[in-house]
Amino acid sequence: MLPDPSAIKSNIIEALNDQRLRAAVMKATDHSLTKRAEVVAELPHWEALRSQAAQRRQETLLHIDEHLLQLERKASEKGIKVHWASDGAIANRLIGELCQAAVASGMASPGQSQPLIVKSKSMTTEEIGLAPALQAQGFEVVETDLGEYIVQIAGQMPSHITAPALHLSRSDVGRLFADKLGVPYQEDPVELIGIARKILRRKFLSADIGITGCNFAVAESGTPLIVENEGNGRLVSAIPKVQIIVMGMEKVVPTWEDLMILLELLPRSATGQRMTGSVLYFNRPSTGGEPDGPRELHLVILDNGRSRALADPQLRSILCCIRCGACLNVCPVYRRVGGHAYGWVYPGPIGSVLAPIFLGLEKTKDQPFASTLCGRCDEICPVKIDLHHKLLELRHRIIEAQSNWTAERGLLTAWKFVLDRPELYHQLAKLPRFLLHDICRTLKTPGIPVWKQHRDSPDLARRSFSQLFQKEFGSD
Amino acid sequence: MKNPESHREVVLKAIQNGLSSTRHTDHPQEFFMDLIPAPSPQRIGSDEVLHNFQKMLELVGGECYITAGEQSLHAALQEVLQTFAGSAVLLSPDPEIQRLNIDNLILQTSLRIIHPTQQNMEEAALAPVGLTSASAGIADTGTVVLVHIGETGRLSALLPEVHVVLLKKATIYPDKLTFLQQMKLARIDLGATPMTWVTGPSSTADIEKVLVRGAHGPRRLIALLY
Repeated sequence: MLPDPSAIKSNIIEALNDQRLRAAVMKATDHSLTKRAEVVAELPHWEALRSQAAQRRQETLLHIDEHLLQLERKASEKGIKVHWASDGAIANRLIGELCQAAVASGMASPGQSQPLIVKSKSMTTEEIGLAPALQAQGFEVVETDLGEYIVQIAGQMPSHITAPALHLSRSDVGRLFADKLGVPYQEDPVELIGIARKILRRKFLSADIGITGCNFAVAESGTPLIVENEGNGRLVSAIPKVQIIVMGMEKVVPTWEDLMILLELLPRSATGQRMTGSVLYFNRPSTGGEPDGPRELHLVILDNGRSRALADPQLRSILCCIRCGACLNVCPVYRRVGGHAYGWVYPGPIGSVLAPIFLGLEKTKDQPFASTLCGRCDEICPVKIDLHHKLLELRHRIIEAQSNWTAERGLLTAWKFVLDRPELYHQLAKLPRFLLHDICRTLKTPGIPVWKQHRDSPDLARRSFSQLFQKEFGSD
Repeated sequence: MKNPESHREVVLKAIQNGLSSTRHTDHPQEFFMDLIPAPSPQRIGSDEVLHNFQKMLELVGGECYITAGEQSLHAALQEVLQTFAGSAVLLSPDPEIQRLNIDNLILQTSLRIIHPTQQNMEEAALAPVGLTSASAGIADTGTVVLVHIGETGRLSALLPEVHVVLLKKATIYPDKLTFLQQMKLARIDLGATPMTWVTGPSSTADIEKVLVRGAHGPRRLIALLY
């Protein structure tokens, strides 16, 4: 299945027939939701926290340029090199140049024929296709998060924001490892993780450049940070002499207090943890005398469609998202088809809103329709994004933009015409009664098929409820 | 290719254009925040806080021993290190480790000390255990705060299967907010130095959501409180 957000309809039909996939996704998302519910129940002030976070995130967006400039200033003062990229292609080119420069300056070991880049998990780098872009420039790029590593060697996209390999069973992973890594088939997760640890440890020890994402960046102190569990983010930012942080610009938070609120919400919503295994604060590059850490630290601030969301008051608050993936876990569509069906890096409700903004309505016109509008995504969102209203808004825009919907448009225009005129509406409301009661009964069903042959039409009251009500209680 | 400066202008301009219709104040909003919840009333380093720290760390698969003080810390540490007799221990020569005279203590065992750096990593990666001190603890999540400055690196706490961390009781805060407040009161800039908050041993649940402890980092985290 090639990544193609316009293929969502056919992908979904295909995925619905895949019982194994559905079972895997259901099981995994149920597991996440159960764990989340347990740790959320521990906090009596959970709802207040959500409201506070939502309010703070929205306020932040209104002055995001000032926060980003403060972040830039504070980070630069500490020796972090800050770069800006208006889109993914520019970011990829810039990061490629940074990597080339690292090799040229001898920061990366010159002995290696192919410079080695180790990556920790980052949806933003998936979004811009960074790894393939760097591979095309002759770098070896290794994903080190276990789930990301699995989908990388399988040649797939992540299928969930926080659990990239959620669609694969242990036997799938076992076969994949046997096939790609030449190890004997086994399906014990502990064994499989041991194999990956061993292979990736070699990569870490000889890595030249580390690339991480950025969960948040504190403006007041110039602190980009990530959260992770496996320790791979720690190794990526401890061993290579050059580290590049790729940050979606909406990840900026003004203060450490903001961060504390979000650190309460994110791990609980994402993985049902009270805190992730590690939180890494990339405060500055390391100095000559220090034993480890990057000598050179770059921060790339990425727009790539985010300013379009910012300019759109009805969609703006989608930028409050902290990428926990909880909306995927509850979504009745996602739970049945998994992430790949969406054909894009961000699946589920959040993805169906981001896709039209980032990629344009043309290629993504079916995305906002992959939803039942049940609103469970709104209810679970830790920063209270009104996801299903945004999906509705996008549906509206998509329909408005289409010219070939004349039949539906005509019907709805007629419907509006009637609804605007109560008297006409009341007259027309009598029509179904007339049709059902009088025509069906008298005609004895010649035209109406089998269904009617063994059924009588209901014996309707002579007067409608509103007529009776009028008569009984009406003032005139 | 346009120079990087111009990409910066492009992004900032896009933001400013996008917000121009909505933004009615031309100065940054004053951020005032009532924090929910309020920082805990529990006393820093109190028994209640220590036991909560222990409980929360154990819940995420860590091990925690509350010793009576520096003397019993030495004994407890010796007992822990005995398991690794004959092999190497990674040691961060941070000021607290030096003050506690840990080098001397290790010399009395049969362990060999390695100070890991980016230069001796191949050798360091073979050591089964690493020993560091922590700058602080956060009880309600069982978190230890590691600060990387000067000779205090990241690798001792990261490369081996077992990370032993020494944590002073007086530096264990009831929760993140209290920690943050106290740092502000003491005028300690949390943005100045690279810092890692570690909560339990490394773990993954990427295969069928089965929780496995010991992913790329330590498989065991042993905290000794003194």
